[in-house]
Amino acid sequence: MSLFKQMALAISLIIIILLGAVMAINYQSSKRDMIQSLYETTVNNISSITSQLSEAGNSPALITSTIDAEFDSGYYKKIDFESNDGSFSYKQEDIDPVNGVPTWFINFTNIKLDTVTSDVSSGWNMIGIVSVDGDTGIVYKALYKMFVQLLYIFAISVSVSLIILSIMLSIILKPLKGVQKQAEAVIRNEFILQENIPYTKEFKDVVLGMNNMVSKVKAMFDKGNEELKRQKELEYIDQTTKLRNRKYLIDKLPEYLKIDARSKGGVNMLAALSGVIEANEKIGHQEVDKLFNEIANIFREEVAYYEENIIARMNGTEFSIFIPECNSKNAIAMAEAILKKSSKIIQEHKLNTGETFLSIGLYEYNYQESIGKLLSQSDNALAQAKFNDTNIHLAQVGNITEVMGKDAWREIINDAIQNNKLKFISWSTVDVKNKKIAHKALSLTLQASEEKIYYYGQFMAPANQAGLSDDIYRNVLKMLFKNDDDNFKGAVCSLRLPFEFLTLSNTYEEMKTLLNSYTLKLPFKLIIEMPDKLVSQNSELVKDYKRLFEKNHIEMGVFEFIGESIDYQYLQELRPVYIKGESSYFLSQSDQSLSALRLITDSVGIALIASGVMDMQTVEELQKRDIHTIQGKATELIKTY
Amino acid sequence: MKIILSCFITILLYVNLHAQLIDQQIANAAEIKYNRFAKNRFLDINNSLLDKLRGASDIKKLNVVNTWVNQIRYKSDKKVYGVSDYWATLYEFVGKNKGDCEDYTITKYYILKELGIDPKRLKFTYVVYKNRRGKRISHMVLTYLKVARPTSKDDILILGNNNRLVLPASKRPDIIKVIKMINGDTGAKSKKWKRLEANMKRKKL
Repeated sequence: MSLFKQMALAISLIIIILLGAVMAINYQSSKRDMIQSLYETTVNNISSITSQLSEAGNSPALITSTIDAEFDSGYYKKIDFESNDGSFSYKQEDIDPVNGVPTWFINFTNIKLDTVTSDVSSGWNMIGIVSVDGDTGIVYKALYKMFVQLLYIFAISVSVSLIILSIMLSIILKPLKGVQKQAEAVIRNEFILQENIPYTKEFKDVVLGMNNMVSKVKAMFDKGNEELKRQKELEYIDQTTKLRNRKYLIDKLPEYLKIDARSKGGVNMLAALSGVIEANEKIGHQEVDKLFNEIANIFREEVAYYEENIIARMNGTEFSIFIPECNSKNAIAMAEAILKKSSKIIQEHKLNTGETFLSIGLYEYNYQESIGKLLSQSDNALAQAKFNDTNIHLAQVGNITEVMGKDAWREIINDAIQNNKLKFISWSTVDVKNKKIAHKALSLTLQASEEKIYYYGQFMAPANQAGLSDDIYRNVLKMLFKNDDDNFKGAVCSLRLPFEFLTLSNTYEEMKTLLNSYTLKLPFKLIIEMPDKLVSQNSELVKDYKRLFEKNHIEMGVFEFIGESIDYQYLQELRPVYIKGESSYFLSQSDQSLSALRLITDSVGIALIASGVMDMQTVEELQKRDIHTIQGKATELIKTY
Repeated sequence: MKIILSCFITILLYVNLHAQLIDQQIANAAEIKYNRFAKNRFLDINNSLLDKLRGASDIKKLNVVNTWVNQIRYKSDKKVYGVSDYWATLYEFVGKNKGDCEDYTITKYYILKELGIDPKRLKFTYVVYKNRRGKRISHMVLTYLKVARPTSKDDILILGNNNRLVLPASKRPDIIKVIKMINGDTGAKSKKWKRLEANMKRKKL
């Protein structure tokens, strides 16, 4: 309960008790006064009745008539006369219930008025005793009326008091709201500085302290950001040509060489400049560097059409031009154009093209290959190219032997989508340090028949080729939110969504509709993983996703992180719960680069998770680098509690 | 707006003026609760008394009303209502066609008031009455003051249920003592009067 509510409740209770006490005292006092007043009036009345009865003498008719007249013209509960000799008695009594007063009030008030008695004498003769009960109905009515009025006054007073109290507390505690907002922002790892310093000393100290703390954390983040940018510049960029380097290519390749890669394959060109030593001797290092720059520009120009190309300088004389979705025919055409243009430039630098020349080995890869194979095959092609007359050699991998044809796969996948044959399975992400499961990464199986189950790695590639992967993900989201799957009850689960699906024009709206309708039913805590390639754009779409997830209490995670962004501010703004990178990425980072990344993630509370960890040796190496949460086959070797 | 307001006020006044002592509704209700004779008695109050006597002299009104009301049979409150003392409304008294001296007084009072007799001249009077056998009985009659401030017994007319004639007090030796005269409409309102007023207002049948 908030401080405001606690204070409001406490003071409200005090006000209610005080007002209630005042009202109760007022009521009791009035009741006492009214009963006293009624008693005194009854005493006065009995005096008058006694006088009239004295005049009646011993005549019963006169006594009766006198009592009737008195009773009917006044307010009495009872008038009772009894003669001394017991020969005559007469009583007038009002036995009707009190009108306009509820029974519960009469029972609650319970007025007890003493009967007033008096002797009646006629001359020297004592003729009898008259006793009178005052009309308590008057008191009941008056007290009930007062009670109702008191209730109204009480209700109005309490309401007014509470409104005033609420306004006063709001004013007094206004700075605390600011402090609270700032504290909540700190919890969310947001860097909000409180501009309005409160006047109240205690609040002022707290705000200044928090501002100071936030400033320091922000400075930490900024420092980490700058350091990481600088490190990335050193680690991923070739300083001469400003092209990417070998390390970048190695870190980036897993995105293209994976089972669920959207691109089925492409061409990797490995270009090498021969005769560089001679060129250095002839025109000097500076001119050779200029030559490299110009050749790099040729590469850029020629492959510009393919947006996803990666041009990397592998070493002093070799360049890799990685072109997904490019076929060998186009690649050869590009290679020829590159050779032609570079030859012209070499001549312009007054170098002998027979001595200094470019060779290009082309390797047509597919998505199932490993990085090692891709690079070695490209090397082989280059070696061949160097001995070719044309200085170009194309090496092609054999066609992928598909177990089934595209149409057969299409049928199986469509059937699975329509008949709910896709099922969730999960792989553990393990906190090695604490021997605990950090979360469960959701994956899919396809139950084609009772005997045949296809795993994600088996059916996702054909699904990509058949253009059905988006339908699968759409179906996965519906399965996730609509089905009451208790298998993961109480767990933390992550679901990875690919770039292509997330950037489809209608994915966001569909997800919004699903989340708005079904999130509350989720029996587990959900983390939706988005690729760093998308998150690092920090686009309106990404912000929309973030807002949507926040609204529905879903966390955001990042996968395929290689820290290639030019700025890491997006991590602070989007605050994913973790970032996942390949174990090779974390292991290949320099100490400076990793500590800069740590500075950033620690300052905004982001966990680092290494994926694709296959053995305990890698686990140990990762732990030495302060990476303790892992995903991959090695998790099966770790006993968790 | 002014026209609508005027119309509304006129309708209200009309309805108020015609809030009659006896109307068809109470006559029908009496028929349902008692019998058709009860209904006829109520209609007769309208026909024989209220309609016919509207322009008559006060004395004629007193005589005719006294005679008409005295047709109703005397019965004690104990026997009719099961209590020792009860002030019945005109409607209960005429409907049941029986009641005690207070009920005669009440009915005569309300009919005469409806006929336009000044209530200040009418009093509920507690008296001691001596019957033919000489027994003294506590009794109530309606008295009419011929002048505002009577100075002799001749100025006070007695409308009782034991005598079919309206006679001056001087001609009623059987009334041996006057205890009290009351009228809650013009004087202090007692509890009993307030209750009667409330019952009359809701036409307690």
